[in-house]
Amino acid sequence: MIDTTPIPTALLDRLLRRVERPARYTNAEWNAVVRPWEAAKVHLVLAFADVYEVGMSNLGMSILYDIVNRQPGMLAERAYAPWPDMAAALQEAHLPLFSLESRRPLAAFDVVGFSLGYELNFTTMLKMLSLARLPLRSAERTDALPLVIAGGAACYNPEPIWAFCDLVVIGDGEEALVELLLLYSAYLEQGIRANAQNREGKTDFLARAARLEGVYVPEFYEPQYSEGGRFLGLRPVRAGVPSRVRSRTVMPLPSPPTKPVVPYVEVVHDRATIEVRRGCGQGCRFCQAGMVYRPVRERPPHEIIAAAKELLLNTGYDELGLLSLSTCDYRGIEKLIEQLQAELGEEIAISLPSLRLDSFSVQLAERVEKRRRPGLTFAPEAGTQRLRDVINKKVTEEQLYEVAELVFSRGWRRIKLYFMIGLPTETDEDVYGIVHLCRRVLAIGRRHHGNRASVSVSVATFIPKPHTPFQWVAYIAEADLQCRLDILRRGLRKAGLELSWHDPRMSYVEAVLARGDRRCAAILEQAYTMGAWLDPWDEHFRWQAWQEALHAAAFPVEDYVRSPWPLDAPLPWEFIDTGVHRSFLQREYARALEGQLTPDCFEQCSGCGVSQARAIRCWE
Amino acid sequence: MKGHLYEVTWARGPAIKYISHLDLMRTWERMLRRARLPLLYTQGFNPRPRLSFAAALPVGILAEAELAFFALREDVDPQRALAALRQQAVTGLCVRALRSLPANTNPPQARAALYLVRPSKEGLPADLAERVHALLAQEKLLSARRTREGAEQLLDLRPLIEELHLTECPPPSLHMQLSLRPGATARPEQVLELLGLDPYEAEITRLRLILVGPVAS
Ligand code: SF4
Repeated sequence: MIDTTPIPTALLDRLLRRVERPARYTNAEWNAVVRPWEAAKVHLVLAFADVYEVGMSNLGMSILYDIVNRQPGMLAERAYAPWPDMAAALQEAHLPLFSLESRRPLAAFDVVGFSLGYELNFTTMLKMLSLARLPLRSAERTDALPLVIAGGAACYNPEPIWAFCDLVVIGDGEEALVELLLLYSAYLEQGIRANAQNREGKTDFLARAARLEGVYVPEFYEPQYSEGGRFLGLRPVRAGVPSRVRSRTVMPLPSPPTKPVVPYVEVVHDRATIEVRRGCGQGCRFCQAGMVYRPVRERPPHEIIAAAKELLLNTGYDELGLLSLSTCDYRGIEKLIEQLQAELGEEIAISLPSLRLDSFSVQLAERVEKRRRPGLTFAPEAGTQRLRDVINKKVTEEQLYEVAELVFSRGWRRIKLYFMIGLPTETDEDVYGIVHLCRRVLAIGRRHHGNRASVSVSVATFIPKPHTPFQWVAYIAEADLQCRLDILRRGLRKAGLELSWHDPRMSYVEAVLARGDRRCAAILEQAYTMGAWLDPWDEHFRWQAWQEALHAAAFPVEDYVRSPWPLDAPLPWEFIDTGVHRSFLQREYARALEGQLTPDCFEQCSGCGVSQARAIRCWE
Repeated sequence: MKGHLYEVTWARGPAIKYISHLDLMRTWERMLRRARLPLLYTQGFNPRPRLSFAAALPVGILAEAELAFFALREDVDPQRALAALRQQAVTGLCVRALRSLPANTNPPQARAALYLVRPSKEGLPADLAERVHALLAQEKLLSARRTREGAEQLLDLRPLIEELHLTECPPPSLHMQLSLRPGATARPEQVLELLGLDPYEAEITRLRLILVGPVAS
């Protein structure tokens, strides 16, 4: 029998007094929904594979929590990865990981739904399963144990986690999750959880679930490899399951949650958030989100304004974030902001998470953000015009200087710039270009603010992500990476310039998992066993565990990641159909190599395939 | 404080006893905004509602009568404000009373606080009365604490213990009045440690604050 009783307060109390920031584990936040357990037919715990502060800033969690809790007969609670001190305390006290709302062990729930933002969250999912005392592998979880599912941006290549999840939702989760829970509740009613012998009931359910759009059931597919270990393809091994899994796209966007849980502890984004737009039409060739969330879906202004008013009233926040991949691209953004300011009053700050590199965006920022932030952030991504053309980032050097001029002249003293190194066709010269750009931007700042001007430069390593025009490209060689970081370190060593870079070892792991096939599951298991979890956290990243796991892998990982893949090679994630056609990605790759720009969807459709595949018009 | 000043008395229950003081302040700001009270904001780069507390409430301690002060742009009927705040109060936070203060009052600070310590399930040790007696007989009670910079510092707690006694009415419990002045603050946990009790095993409630003020400006 599965123990479904809540963890007694007295027991928990003893733990909470000894851990850091105990308020992360105590629920009772404003707007948290505690539905009566017995009244629900299906119990879902939304498990976020990172800590509370990160998870509570994740809009996806908040959307799904809201939607499921509004369904009759359904209940959704939340669980986050505990900080290591709490994880150790739980294990010491022989207590399982529990949900926040009812403090029940995860195993008490019918469905555990993991939210996976990116590849470095994978091991945390394993840790959470193990803290919940659930077997890691789906095959070892009987019908008596919860169904374990996953979704989120990292699932556009679900192969590395194939063994751990009964099913994976690909794409937008709003509709698919509710359909799945509805389907599963019929099985629960028939008493599926009484069967602790095998997982026949689950298999039966999964066969039906696999027919839903956006649902991938890994166990119904089998990969083929050549004798040399080359991936040859993925084949369905059960009748009735689709040979390709189409990702889910909701259109129009469902109404936004207006009663989100308000955390007590300070989280990453402490503000009310409203998604104004999903997807991005700019077509940057390195960007997975811009390719897989197509077409762009905008929320109408009246809906945003009405929701914003409710949201602020229901939460008491004094800041509203307008979320999207590129908020300045929202059609009529100026008017929208004007209306929001008029409706919400001046005590409410409006924040734009990402700024386009042009004066229009700076003017927008000036209207809304000045009282909060000391500086503005932009992403030129590459240091030379040539390379920016390659990645289809439509920004010129002059534009950048103009923007810097404007930013500094309007009183901001700090500019933050995002770049990538390791981009396809990159040479040392492109990296010197970054140095040159940053120094000039600083010089502009100095003219306005003297020594008080500063430029912070944040550098990430390019990772060739699935479903992008660069999915065939090699991950940068270690020697090149070190050499280019060195160029930056030396070139940007100057008062007023602050350089920070992502740990290249983390990026390497991310690259392996991003383009990995099923053989990565063993790597994940091994790394986890050696102590890897909370990988995105510098202080917890266990490089040694990863090194050993990668070394022990059944295939030459280094080759796999650092060599370009032939254009005609089958790719492990190609069974997922995002609607964007392979020929479009190939064409974009070719255009990249020629340095040809491709226009924004909004200017001109470049025929990526989405409108045909979904039989829709992308722009009204 | 400018504007119309209000004093609110509130209690903290077990549901939110792990919330830090900083987080409580932010919680109060949000409650006030949700209650749609016409808050008065500070001037400057980053305007904040004019809100202050008579004393910080440490993590893990329950409270019966904490005091917060806020300023409004307009005169609002205290009964109406109280009702609005109660509706917006988070779980575990009880808004007990609200009154308006005379104009131009400076919000008072606490100089001491009265605590009640209830024993854990094992109860209080039989010789506790003697231990209390012995403790109070000491001239100096040095207790180590960490400064912000991480250095150890010895603090004499004896003058900060204004009162300490056992009550017999069942269940037996410990009452203490401790100084809360800046730089001269004793925490109930420190006193429990000096008495040889495990501070983690007791339930501590701050019953009330003893104020310095209110001072007219
Ligand atoms: S079909 Fe055209 S407009 Fe639609 S997403 Fe693709 S490129 Fe953009």
